[in-house]
Amino acid sequence: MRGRLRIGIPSLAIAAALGCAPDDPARTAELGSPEVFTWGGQPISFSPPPEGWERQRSQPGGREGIEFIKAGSVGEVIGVEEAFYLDHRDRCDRLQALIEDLDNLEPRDLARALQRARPYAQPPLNVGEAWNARAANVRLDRAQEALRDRDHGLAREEILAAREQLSRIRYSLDEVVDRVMYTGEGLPPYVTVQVGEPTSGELAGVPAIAVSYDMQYGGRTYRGRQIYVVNNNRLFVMRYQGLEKNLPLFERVVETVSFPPGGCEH
Amino acid sequence: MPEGWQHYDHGLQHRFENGTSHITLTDLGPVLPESLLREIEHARELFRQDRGNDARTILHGLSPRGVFPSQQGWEAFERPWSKLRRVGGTRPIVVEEVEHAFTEAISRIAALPAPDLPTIAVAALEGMFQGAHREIARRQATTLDGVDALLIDTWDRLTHEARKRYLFMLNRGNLLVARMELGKFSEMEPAFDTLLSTLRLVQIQGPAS
Repeated sequence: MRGRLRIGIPSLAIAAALGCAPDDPARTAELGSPEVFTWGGQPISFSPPPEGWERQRSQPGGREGIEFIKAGSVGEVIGVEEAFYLDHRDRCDRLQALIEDLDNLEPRDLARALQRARPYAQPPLNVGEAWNARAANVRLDRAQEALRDRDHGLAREEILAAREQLSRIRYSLDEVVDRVMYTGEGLPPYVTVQVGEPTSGELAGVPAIAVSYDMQYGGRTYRGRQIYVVNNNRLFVMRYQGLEKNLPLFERVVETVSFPPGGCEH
Repeated sequence: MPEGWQHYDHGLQHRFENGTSHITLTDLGPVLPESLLREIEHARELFRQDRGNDARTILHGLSPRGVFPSQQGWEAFERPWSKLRRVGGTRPIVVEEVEHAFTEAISRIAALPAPDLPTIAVAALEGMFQGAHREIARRQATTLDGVDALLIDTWDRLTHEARKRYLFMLNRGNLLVARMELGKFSEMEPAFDTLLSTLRLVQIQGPAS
């Protein structure tokens, strides 16, 4: 059973009560202008941390995105990434491209494109995926037959129907989050970490799960937090690791997250 | 020329360098049916003057695939095109067959619609990216020396960093591209704009080659 997560900005009054100076840069520094990042089929928008946090590519295993490292710090980092294994399962873009190129491709390329556009659902993440992927593949089989008979009109209809079928697949956060959730495993022996219980909440209007942890190494204690959210069948990870004093900055960045419309809606 | 910048003339490419900041202006060759026709007809004239090697040089410098919107159109063109590409080579050719191939290739290209500048520019950019994880950050139609041009900024797909600017324009059907090759965007932007503001298109007579 997960606890409740409140993802929001503590007010200045609360900050003062906690003994933090109201002009604490982590709470007051102006964030960058919102930027829209499109790493897969679903864009994500957020305001990046202020100057002094240097951005770089982030590609930890199975995810890609951006991280901001505080210059001259003890290794404090704010990261936003997409776990692309869900993006790779989605065939919507490929089917859309196939529909657009249907009259331009030669038969051999058409057959190859059709094959590459087939959903694979082994093992399926849920019953809906298993059923809809099977139904979409039946439609694509018919499209292949229609192409063999050079009936592009019928093939187009079947591919559109397959795309519609696949748009009904929906993953819940609980079904997909375990693959990326932070557990503290695999760390070197000189690092100790205490990982808290996952908590559930909401971010940008969709369900979110957060994991907090404390990590000790090099004579310092680092606060860590990872927040997971699924929007339009894409899994995003927002993470912070650094000193306690900069955790509010991470919370402010997270508060600006929104999801502009993507190419294919589920 | 902005202060501190050096100019190197490499023929189809002009380089402008200031330390580690590099800007290039490159003629990427014919990208419209009209300019391809001009070059193919020029090659035909050379072939008729028994200058097969010169004709070959011209024909092998062309990349006509981009002007064919459909695969079928390209496949139909490839038949005469593959014959023409043998001109000036070591394999024997039949003059009448080559003449027929020239006629067919010219008629097929002449029937094509001209692609617009954004389509041409994006296709050229995709060729330049070559798998690099870049995306278009901004595009803006503009004019340069009275000619329509397209300004495109690209950046790293993941971080929105390493911004680079390109400017595309057509000159007699050839695609010209000015691009930031190396250097920091904020430092190069003024020089890029200054260099382009001095650019004048000179109409030369005869085939561009």
